[in-house]
Amino acid sequence: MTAPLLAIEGLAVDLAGRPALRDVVLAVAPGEAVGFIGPNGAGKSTLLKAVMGLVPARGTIRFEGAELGQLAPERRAALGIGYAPEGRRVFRGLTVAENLDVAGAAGAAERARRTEAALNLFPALRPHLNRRAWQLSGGQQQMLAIARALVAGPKLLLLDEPSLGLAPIVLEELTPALARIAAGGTALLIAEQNAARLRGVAGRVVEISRGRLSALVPGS
Amino acid sequence: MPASAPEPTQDPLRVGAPLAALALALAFALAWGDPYALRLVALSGLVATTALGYQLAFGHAGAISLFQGAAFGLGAYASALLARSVSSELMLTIPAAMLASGLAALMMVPALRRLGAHAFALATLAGAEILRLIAVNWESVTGGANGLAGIPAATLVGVALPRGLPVALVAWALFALAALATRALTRGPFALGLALMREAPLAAEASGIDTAARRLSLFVLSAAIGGAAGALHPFTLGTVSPEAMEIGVMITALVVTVIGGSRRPAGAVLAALLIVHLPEWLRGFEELYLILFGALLLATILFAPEGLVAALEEWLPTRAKEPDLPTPAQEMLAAQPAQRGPLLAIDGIEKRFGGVTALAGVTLAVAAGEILGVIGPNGSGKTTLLNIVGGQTDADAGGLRFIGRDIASPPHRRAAAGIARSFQTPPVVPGLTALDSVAAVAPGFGARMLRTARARALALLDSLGLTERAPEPMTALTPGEARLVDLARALMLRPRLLLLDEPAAGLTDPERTELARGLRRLADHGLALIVVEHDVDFLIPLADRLACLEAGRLIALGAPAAVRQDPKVRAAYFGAAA
Repeated sequence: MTAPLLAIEGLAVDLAGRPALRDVVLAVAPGEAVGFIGPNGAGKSTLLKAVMGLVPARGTIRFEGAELGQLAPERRAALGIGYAPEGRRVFRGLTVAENLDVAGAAGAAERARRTEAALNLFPALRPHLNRRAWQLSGGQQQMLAIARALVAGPKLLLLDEPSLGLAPIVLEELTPALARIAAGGTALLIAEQNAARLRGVAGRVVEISRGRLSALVPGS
Repeated sequence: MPASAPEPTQDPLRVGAPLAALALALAFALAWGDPYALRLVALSGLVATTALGYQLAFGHAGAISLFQGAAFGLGAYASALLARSVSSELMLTIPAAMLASGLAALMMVPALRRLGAHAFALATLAGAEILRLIAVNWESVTGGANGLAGIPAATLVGVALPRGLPVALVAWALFALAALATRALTRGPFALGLALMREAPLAAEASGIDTAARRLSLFVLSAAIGGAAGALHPFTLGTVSPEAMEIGVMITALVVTVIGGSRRPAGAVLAALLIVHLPEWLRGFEELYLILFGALLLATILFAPEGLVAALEEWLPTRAKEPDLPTPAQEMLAAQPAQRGPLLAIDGIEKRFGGVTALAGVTLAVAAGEILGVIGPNGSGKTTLLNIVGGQTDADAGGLRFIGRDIASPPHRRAAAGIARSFQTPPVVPGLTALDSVAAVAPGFGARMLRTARARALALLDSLGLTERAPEPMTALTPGEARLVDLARALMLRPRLLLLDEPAAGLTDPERTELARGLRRLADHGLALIVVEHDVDFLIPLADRLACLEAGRLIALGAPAAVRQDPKVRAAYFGAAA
């Protein structure tokens, strides 16, 4: 087996004095897609935030063999971890094109290539490149948040409920697109309410319940 | 507990503030009984009262007014002029000063109505400057730059009130009176509504809260209280001068409000005593005084960002208090009055944003008791349609009739008429619990109305399966739970038409099933619902009719099964999956 891209051991997170995650152990190989399902408040979003360094966590998280420790989120991003949070966090005052452009540290040609790929994934964004992000509909903002994370060219992409607010016809495109991203070598961690949304993407589906990884379900 | 929560019960410093103020004043007066010290004690009382008034505008209404100093000065001049020409009876001069300052603020209201935070601050500063220029230049009345001297001692109900201890006591009594008089405003549903208004003005408006009216009436009231404090000022000195109008007074009120805590009467007491006495205590440092003062101020803001009182509470032992949940009220769902014809008729609505057409002539009707589902690709105009019905956006063309009448435009009037809505991104007010986020939209003042509102709110949360989460702060809720709280908030208005924007997003399957059952029950009681949703497995069994928008046009309308099979809908929305 190849060395894991991401190795989590004994991860524990407390939120507001209460345990939110306990004893999380997880290894993700390069290009592997792992889905998380579980009810509201089970800890799916918290796990993604802990990997990104957005909540204080105990235990160890190794990325490409290096311990992340207390590394700040922007340093983790620089290492190649991308994050599309739940709730359409886009830069509302910037245009769509600018939103896509702030993400990448790569050279202009590479950025243009990735932007093009992201726009092929979400063609609905293309006519709006010069509009401010706040003028987009909620679903379009969701697409933009995912697209922005992709343009950064991460080795590991954390997606928190990427399907939220997207029309069925877009979801139909999203599933194979995410599968293509994983096939291209980017590992994915995807949190979803609904296991059906992970079908065709995630090689493994992990259930989170009350802050613990409770079952490993082979994906389809 | 966050200091921003207007929670009335578990906070000893808030309950005892007026009494503590008087006790402190007395202690000071007795310990340092020389005339100069007593004048400082009196001045502290006036500063505390001015700041207490300012809390209403700045802390509660979130209006950055820079008029409070001028209100104080105008009160001082009104009182001094009356004392010289008519009588120095406080029962006359204080109400007259309140009237003068309140009226001056009221005259600014038409100009302030449409101004946002920064423009509001500048406009109030301009108003204050005009008053100061009048005080300096209208020499025949105000005495110009020299001011007015020889002001006779005050009387209270005919009893002479010499300077020194009596005036100091009256100053603090005035503070206690003002604190008691505004108590009902700062606790109860009204205060919760103000918190909602500060953090989520759109949701507050959509919940029937006239945010402009609340903000401006608190601005006027804060000026009147500033005027009352100013009315005593001439009697502490025997003179009044334009100094009482200068920006320094305003800055003092602002500093006291920031370091004491912007919604804490006890903070006004503490910070006013400090601000007035610090210069005396630091006198030995001479030129260094201002630097020290600035350093102390910065330290307070850094280490006690919520103010001194909140910081003190962190240190004081607090009695652990069980969350005090009321008994749920018997809610609610009274059958709606019978309605002939459609409840809501949308006729040829058009809307463009810049070069983009959001809606290109949509005509729809919804009957009482009907659930209309709305689907469509992302950006097809679904939310815009809800915004136009809810009043958050004005249509460019077309008409809306609700219960057979054209509907008034501001969202809060529509909410009052019976149109409620939820939001795609539900409002989360950091200092409020889930229960209080719902209770915030109820009318009424004071603790008793708060209990009633909370009982109703709890019943609604209960019906959505959120009883256990009711005492939690909104920030601890998952996005799905916050969405259900938002729905409860909308139902609190007892609407006849409910607009829901993606209510099932972020919910688990059991929650979704529960929600669908709840929405059907609402419709059975005669509510009309317009539900925008992408989760068609949720929507299609729920909706009586389904509308599909594409690029701002209605491309299909009818029975859900038929719309689902419509080739145009399949091409635009479902793709091959349907």
